[in-house]
Amino acid sequence: MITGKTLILGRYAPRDSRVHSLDPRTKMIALCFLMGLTFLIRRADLLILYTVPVLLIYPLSGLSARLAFGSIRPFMWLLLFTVFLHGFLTEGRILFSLPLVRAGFTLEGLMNGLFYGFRIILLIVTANLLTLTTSPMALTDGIEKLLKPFQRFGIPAHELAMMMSISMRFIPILLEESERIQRAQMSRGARFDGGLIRKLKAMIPILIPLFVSTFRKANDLALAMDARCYRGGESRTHFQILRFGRADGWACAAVLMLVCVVLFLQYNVLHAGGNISPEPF
Amino acid sequence: MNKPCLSISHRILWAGAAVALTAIGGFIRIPFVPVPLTLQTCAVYLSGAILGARTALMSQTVFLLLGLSGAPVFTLGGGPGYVLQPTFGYLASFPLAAGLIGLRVGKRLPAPDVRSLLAAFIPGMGVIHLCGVLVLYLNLKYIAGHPVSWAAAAWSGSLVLLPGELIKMAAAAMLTVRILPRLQGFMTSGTGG
Repeated sequence: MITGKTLILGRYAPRDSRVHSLDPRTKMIALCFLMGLTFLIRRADLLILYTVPVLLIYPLSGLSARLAFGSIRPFMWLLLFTVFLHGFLTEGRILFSLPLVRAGFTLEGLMNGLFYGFRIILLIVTANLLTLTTSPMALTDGIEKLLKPFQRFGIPAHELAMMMSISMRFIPILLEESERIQRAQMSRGARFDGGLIRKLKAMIPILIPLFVSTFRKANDLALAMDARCYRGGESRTHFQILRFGRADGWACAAVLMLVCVVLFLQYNVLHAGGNISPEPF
Repeated sequence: MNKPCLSISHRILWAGAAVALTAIGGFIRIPFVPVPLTLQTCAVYLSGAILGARTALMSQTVFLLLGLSGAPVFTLGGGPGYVLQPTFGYLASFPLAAGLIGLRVGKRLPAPDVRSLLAAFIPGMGVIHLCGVLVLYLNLKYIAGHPVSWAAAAWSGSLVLLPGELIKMAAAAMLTVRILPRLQGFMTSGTGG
C-alpha cells in the first residue's frame, strides 16, 4: 500500500559545466524571468523563435534531450485536455466531428490548442533546467540567501532552509520505517484488503506508530543539536560560500538581453501594429 | 504544544518531521474509485494540530519549497514546473490551512477532543478547497487558455472530492486524538534555547 520505494530525492544531473557552476540564486532569478517571458509571448512564430535559445542551454549544460523532455509525462493529461478543449470549443473550419455529441473539432481550435500546449511544454522544459543543474543542497542554500533580506519582516530564512535539509534526510528514513511497521503489523495478522472503511482502519496501526516514532526521532535529534549548542542562523558559517561571480553577471546579462529582444519583437514598430491579441493565429 | 520553552532546534526538527510525514502521506495510497485517496491532506491537518500555528505554517511552506525545488514529494513528482499543474492550488494552500488549524486547535491544547478538532479542520479544508478551485479556474483560463465557468470549476475541483475528503478529515481527527497523548511524554522535554 505504501509506494515510492525507489524514491530518488531530486533529479539533479551532476555535470561539469558552466551552467552547473553558476550561483543557484542566479539560476533561480533567471528561471523566474524566463518563465514569465514565456507567459508574455502571444505570437506563435515568436514562441518557436524563443525556443531556440532556451533549448540551447541544455547542450551548454551537457544535458541530453531525454532529460529535457523526460519530465513532460506527468503533464500529458493537461496537454491533451488543452488541445482537445480548444479543438472542440473554438469556432471555425470543422476537421471532423463526433457523431454523438455533435461537436466539431476545428482547425482554428487545433492551432490554438497546439500553441497553448507548446507553451506548457516550453515552460516545463525551462523549469527543469533549474533542478537538473542545481543540487538540492545548493538550492537550499540559495533559497536561504534569497530569503535573508526578508528576515526583517519576520521570515525566518535560516530556519526554513534548515527544515528543508532536515526533511530531505527524513523522507527516506521514514519510508523505510513505514515499510518496517507495515511488515511488523502484517506479521501480527493485520490485513490490508476489504472495503474503503476497512482499508482506512487498517492504516491506523501503521500511522500511529509512524507518527509517534517520527516525532521521537526528531526530538532525539533536537536534543543532540541542543547539546552541541545549536543556536540557529546567527553567526553560523557555511561549508560552501555562495559567490556572485563574473559568469553570473554574464548569465544575468544574457537573460535580460533575451527578455528585451523578445519583448521588442512582440510589441515592436517593425511589425505593423504588433499583434497583441490573445489569438496566436 | 508550541510552548515558549521550546528550543529553536526542537521547532526545526519537528517541522522537518512534519514535512517528511506530509511527503510520506502522499505516497500512502488507498485504491479508491475514481481517484485514489492519499493521506497528504491528513498529514496537513495533523501537523496543524500537533505543531501549533507558526511551526505548522513554516513546515508546510517548507513542504511546498521542497517540492518546487525538485524533490518528488507531490503526487506527480515535483519541480518548479509544478506551478503549472491545475491542482497546484491545493498544495499552495497547505501552509495557510495548517496555520489556521494550528491557530484554532492551539486554544484547546493539550487535550482537544474529536469535536473541537473537527471544528478546526473544517475551515482548514475550506481554505484548501477554495484555493484549489481558484487556481483550477485561473489555470484553465490563463495556462490552458480556455475559460470554464466558476460552477464547473467548483464542481470538479471541490464537490466531487468532498465525500473522500470528509472521511479523511474524520480519520485525521481520530488519529490526532490518539497520537497527541503519546507525544506529550517527550515533547515537553525540550528545554534548551
